[in-house]
Amino acid sequence: MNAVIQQAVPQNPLIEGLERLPVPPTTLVIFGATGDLARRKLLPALYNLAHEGGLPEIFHLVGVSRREKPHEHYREECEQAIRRFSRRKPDEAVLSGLLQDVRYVPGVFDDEAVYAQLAKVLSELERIAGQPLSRLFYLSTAPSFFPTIVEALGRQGLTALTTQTGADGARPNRAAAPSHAREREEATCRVVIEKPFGSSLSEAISLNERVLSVFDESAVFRIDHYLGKETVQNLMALRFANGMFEPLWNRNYIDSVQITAAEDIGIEGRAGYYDRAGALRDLIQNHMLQLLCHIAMEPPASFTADEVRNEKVKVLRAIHAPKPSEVEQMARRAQYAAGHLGGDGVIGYLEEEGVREGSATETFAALRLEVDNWRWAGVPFYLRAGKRLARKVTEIAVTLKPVPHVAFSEEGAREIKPNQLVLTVQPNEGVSLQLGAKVPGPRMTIRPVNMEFLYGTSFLSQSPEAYERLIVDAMRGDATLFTRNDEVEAQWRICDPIITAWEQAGGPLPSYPAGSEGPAEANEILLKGDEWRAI
Amino acid sequence: MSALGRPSRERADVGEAPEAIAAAEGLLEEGDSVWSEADTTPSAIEAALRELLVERHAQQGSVAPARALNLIAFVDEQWAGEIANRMRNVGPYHASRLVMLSYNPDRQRMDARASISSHQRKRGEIALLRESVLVEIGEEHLRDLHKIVDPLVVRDIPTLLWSPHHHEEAVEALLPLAQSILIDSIDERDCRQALSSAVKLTEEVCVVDLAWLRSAPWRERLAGAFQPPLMREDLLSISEVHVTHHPDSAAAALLLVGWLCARLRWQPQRLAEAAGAISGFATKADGQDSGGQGDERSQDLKRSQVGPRPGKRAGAGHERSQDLERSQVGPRPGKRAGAGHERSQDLERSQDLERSQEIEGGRQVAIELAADRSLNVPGLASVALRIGSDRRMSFERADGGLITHRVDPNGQERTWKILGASRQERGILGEGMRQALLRDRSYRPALQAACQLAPRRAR
Repeated sequence: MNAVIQQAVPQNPLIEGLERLPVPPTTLVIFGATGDLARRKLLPALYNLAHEGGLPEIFHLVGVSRREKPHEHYREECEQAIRRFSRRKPDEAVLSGLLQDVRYVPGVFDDEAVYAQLAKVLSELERIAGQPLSRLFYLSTAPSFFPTIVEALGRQGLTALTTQTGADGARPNRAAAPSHAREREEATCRVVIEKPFGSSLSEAISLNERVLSVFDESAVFRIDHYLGKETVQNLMALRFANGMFEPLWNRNYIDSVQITAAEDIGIEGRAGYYDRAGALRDLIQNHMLQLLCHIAMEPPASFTADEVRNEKVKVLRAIHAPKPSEVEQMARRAQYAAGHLGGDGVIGYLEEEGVREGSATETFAALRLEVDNWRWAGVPFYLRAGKRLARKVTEIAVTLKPVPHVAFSEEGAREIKPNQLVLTVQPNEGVSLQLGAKVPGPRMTIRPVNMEFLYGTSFLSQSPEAYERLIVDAMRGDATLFTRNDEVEAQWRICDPIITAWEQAGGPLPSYPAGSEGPAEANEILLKGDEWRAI
Repeated sequence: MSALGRPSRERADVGEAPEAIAAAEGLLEEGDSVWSEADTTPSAIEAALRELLVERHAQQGSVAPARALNLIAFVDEQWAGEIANRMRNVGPYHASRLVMLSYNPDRQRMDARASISSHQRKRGEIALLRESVLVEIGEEHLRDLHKIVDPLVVRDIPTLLWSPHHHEEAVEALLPLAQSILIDSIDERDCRQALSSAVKLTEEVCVVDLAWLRSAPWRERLAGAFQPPLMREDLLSISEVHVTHHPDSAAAALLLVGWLCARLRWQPQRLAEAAGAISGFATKADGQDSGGQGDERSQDLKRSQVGPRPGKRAGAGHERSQDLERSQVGPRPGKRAGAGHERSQDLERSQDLERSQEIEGGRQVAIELAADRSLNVPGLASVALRIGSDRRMSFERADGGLITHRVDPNGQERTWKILGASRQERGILGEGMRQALLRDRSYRPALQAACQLAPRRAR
């Protein structure tokens, strides 16, 4: 396990005022280096970091994947991926500098020889650098390989870098320490684990145990890329940098919260993964519960990783995990059938290539959760996620309680609706507040109008991709935007009973036409007077 | 393009626009909504902007006006086209509303053109609207300049003022409308004067200095080099700083050294200019020294070899390595920093003795700035540090990043490239827009220190 540096080190005075904070010299090892995520997201993110000067001053990339190929072929694949998927046109000198020393280690992940080879490559890179380098292992593989890889890294001694502290935890005498020993002390080994982190509570617990037998929790970065999105971080800014919301942010004024993650696309050739996962595991267990946490958490004492995550865990623990008999009242699922999207006919889920015949995997899931604490008792939190819905939108709608008394005439007040604060995560990131306003004319007639604020209109910067932010945070050891072990287990504790009940019930599932608002059955979990927002 | 305007007023279509308007054609893009009017008034321009917005909404529902930043640019009429081109090339960092005042002292009449353009990044997303106003004015309009401009800026959002052709009277008139001012300290011939002016401006508004922004990658890399906990102790032992720069960018080099002084609590001393180089020293605060290696360091200083040779930028490899070996940093034999020609020999000897004592006590940091005539873009060419007596570190501009060279106490040398694309001048201007929304707390102390370092006459 990584030892923690005990001795307080004075702040570097040169970082004052810098927008981009330094990142320690690092070798990034991507397992699953030729996969879709690596090509579409990780490699373009690395290029963009290099372009902006955001990578460490010494940086090496090592790809590990199954297929045999020389380093040069892998570099060419990296180059193609970056040219195709980068958000900006590459600068040739930067691209060539990034790729010129990229290494590739072929082999299957349960073969110890792969790790021995990797160890050689890492040693060689350190020799070239003339100093020990921090190591960041990025697991972008099928989830079944996560424990295999982590344990092999431990067995092969690839995680043992930072153990040069004295018995009392103090660092060795600087003057006496040889240069490499000093730098070795400062180098770290960390692991980034992609989602899904387990497919059930028991799997998540087991995976945590196996990962934590090799790495200290402080070195484990469970990624949920939603947390790297600027707009998700803006949720915290909206709540905790604006005094106007806090007095209203409780059960006295808020009637309900509705979180929607609607996609218009289908499974896009990912049947192998999706048909085993389903909407609940794919989106709700991680992304949507994280959004819920951001909405419901108490203000942290500070924005350090543990303070923020402590508050999120409190929310998750306050959510009532349903008993098997309660699932029917608070959860619904469905599958998309053939329908129309954008004027084109699309096939149903069961007709998609690779989906098991008669599959009972849900492509739509809706839940009603309750956060049983002082602030939120009695306020329903509705979550829904689905594929092949009318349009792509991720949003959080906070509905306030209606005014206690309407003084206007019945006719004029007919359209008065409770205020709604809608936080849109994508697209058109921003905040809108639905207000009642008088329709121009001689009569006092009230209609709802929107007061909209778009993030894009108020800042001149381009938002970086979520992975750019998260990779740098992992290299710097800042875990604020990553999921902690108890957090992920708390998420599974909520979803596990629902998954179990659904698996026991089997299929067939209710269906909804592709391109629609989702199944009518989703209305059955709403409390009286509530309704789903139009997608 | 469409043209709106009141029938009662003269309309100037784009094709028959006055000279400066045509020159500023770069502000327009295909599909923009345009209004123009000769002999107009601020209220007419403001009304036209509102009409254009309504018209644009009617044409395309998914549009929203951007509300982030006003930019007031006061430019010479003959250079309006060039400035418009620069503005067009700032990438995503366009000001939400640009008010460009095109100045010709002989102009009697105020003509204007307003335009709205929209930019949709992805299908289905809301397109952001940007508004541009070009107002042609003459000397007689200067008296009430702020009254002309005030109605044209969006209220309640930050306003950035830019006077690239240095019209001080305009700056004075418009500064009350702005929260930030965009300057470039390397623009003035006398960099001491430029830095002093910037210091004065910081007393009134937030200053966004392009010369400072150009040094950001250098500052980030210097900070990064000292970020490892054990390297931080070495900050106390920096004994020499050597910076090479574009011949017109001495102010940028002074700002970088000023930043080191401010961050590391070095007391800046006035530098001296001689033989094309600026040199001198800063004094460390009590408790800082160069590692307790006084005598050895003093000896080493005389034959110090840090960083690339002034005036010659090396690429990489052997040539560069040889340059490093030849290059000299710090006080040159026979050319004592901080000593003017008028000083007597006695005074020089006395100061030398005093300085020698300080050096041996490790309290002085030798500073040298030199122009690099091979650098063809504004800004810095290299930064080199000597740490204690036995460590050296340098960064040098190269294609696709900075080449860094390190020499460890045991004499081991390492050279590699730290990646990062050049933002180029258009990127720097765009960054200036963005920085107007931020506040860099480290600029003012660095500027003040740079001002104290600046020699009496330096370009």
